[in-house]
Amino acid sequence: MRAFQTYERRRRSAGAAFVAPALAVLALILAYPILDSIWLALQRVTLKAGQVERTWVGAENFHRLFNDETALRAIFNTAYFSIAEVVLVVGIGLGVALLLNNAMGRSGFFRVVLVIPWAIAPVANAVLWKWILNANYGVLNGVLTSLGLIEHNQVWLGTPTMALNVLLLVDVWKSIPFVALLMLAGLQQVPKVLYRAAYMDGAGSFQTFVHITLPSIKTAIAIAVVLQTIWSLRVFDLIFVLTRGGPADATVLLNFLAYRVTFNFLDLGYGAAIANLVFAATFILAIIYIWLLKPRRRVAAS
Amino acid sequence: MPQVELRNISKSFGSVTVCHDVNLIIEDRAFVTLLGPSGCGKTTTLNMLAGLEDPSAGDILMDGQRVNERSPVDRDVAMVFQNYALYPHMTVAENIGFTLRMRHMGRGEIRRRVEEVARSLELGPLLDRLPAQLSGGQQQRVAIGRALVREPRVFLFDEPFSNLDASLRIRMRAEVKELHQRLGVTSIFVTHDQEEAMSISDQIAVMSKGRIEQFGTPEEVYARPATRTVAAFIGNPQIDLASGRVEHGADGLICRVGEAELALPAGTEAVAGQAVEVGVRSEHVQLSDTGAAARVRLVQPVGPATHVTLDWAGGTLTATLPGIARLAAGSATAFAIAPENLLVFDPDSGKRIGGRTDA
Repeated sequence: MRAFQTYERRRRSAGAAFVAPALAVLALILAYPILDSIWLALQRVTLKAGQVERTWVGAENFHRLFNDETALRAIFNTAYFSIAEVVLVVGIGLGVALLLNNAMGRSGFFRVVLVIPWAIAPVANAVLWKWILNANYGVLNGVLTSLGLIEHNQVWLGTPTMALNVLLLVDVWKSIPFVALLMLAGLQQVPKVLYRAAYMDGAGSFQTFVHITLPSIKTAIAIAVVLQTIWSLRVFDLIFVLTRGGPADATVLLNFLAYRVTFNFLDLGYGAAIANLVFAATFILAIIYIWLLKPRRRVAAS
Repeated sequence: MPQVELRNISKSFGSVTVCHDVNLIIEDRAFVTLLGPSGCGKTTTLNMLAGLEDPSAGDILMDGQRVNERSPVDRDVAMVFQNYALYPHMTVAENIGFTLRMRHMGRGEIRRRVEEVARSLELGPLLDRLPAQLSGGQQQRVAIGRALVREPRVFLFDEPFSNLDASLRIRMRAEVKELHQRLGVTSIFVTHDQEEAMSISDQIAVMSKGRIEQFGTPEEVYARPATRTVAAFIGNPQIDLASGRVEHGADGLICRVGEAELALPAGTEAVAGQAVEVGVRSEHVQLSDTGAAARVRLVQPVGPATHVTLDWAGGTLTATLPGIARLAAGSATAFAIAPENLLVFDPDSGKRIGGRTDA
């Protein structure tokens, strides 16, 4: 007798066969490094005379993290940067999406223009801004001077507060397109008839926005907030190219600190601990993101 | 005084004209249906009445006042939409009360009015549910409640039952009619379902290609259709039409269709030799031994009656016979039509030129 499989069983085993290679690759390039870095964070690692010396220290690296002034500053900077960026990006992104959803904004031209900042390769983008912000030859100084808004060229990345906020604005500029498109997709899913109903119910434009539009796209907003927080926590390329953490460590964010500690100071265990802090925060946000994406089960009518 | 009046209303979208010079006078407390196939301009007409769309030309009057430039709230009209258009994130109570909230009415007063409306629509126990937790019929009632709570002077219904299954549709039809009898609020109802229109309305405006073909009571549009289009659109089974030529018969004019001769009703405005189209409602076709020859093609009993499809010189013809008729498909028969039941149309203009004129 020939061995036979029901269609359902055959489909299931085929599915497993298709997924297996991807799972193997993910285990190799994601799971292994993550577990190894957690392992690394619990050790003191010293490189000397061509060999690696590992000593088990438990949570010492993490204790150190919360007593290290530079690390605490980086945590504070990262928190400020992320919160400010999320507020700005989601706020402006929603505004842009509303404009694009308007009859006049529907042309494809605006959408193409919108996507440009997001489509530029991150490092190329950072290099571009390095030239725009250049204190002597930068186009920003040139434009502001010719408009009469500033009298002398500014060193945009020269003072601590200014440098961090300029970086923030550059990253906001880069992040708006994706969030705006996300919001636009949300806006386009709102049934048009709801607006007609609200109009018949006597709601004005602002009331319609508050009572109909916002609640209808709240999932899109929540997803945008979570994704943008993840991206803000991960910012690295801009700092690496534009400021290298300076001036006076004002633009050292956690991700950059992890890089500096690991590859400049070669303090591998401590660097891994910092990286793990970023990972933990990102991981929690990712779980929230997946939970938000999950379709809500509707309670059946009784 | 007529409450709602459309005067020479036209509406174009670019080069497409969807309403041509529509005139309609709707009396106070009347239930009027705009009936027609999709694309006939009925929903556009309703939207213009609502204030959702602007007429390209013409005036909308309420109580003799031009209201073209007034908002729906100022016109005091409320609308029930085709897909309910309930706000999905609001509870039943919030949906119904939204319009009152937009008028800055006090919380207590909103609550009182919402509960009153909910009671009259038997929505009381559902006030805290979200629309997604309701059945189609319940959602429909919430949509009606949302219009009702405003206590408007005119209700507008845009194909409100098209998403409901057949049995629920018939029940909601009765509920809306009862509601209208109870409240007596002028109602304008849009549908493409002629049976729905017949059963619910005081008057029907039959629309086709952006024009009102006929405006009259259900009985008028059914028994005395003004045009061939109205005759064909109203009635189930659909009216059968046949082309013939007018001749002089023994007792006045007849219509010859092939070998068959049908006596034309008295007063038909036609002369011998003229081409005409004749039509008849299936219940007015009587099977008899004498008369026009026909052959039974199909016998379909539906319970209280039997629809018999006949082949004859003029094409096919449906006869509705009372009860269960026992006829064999393929058998030869003959039919007769009382002259006063024949409807005669001018084939070019489509206008009716003969048949019932009595009230």
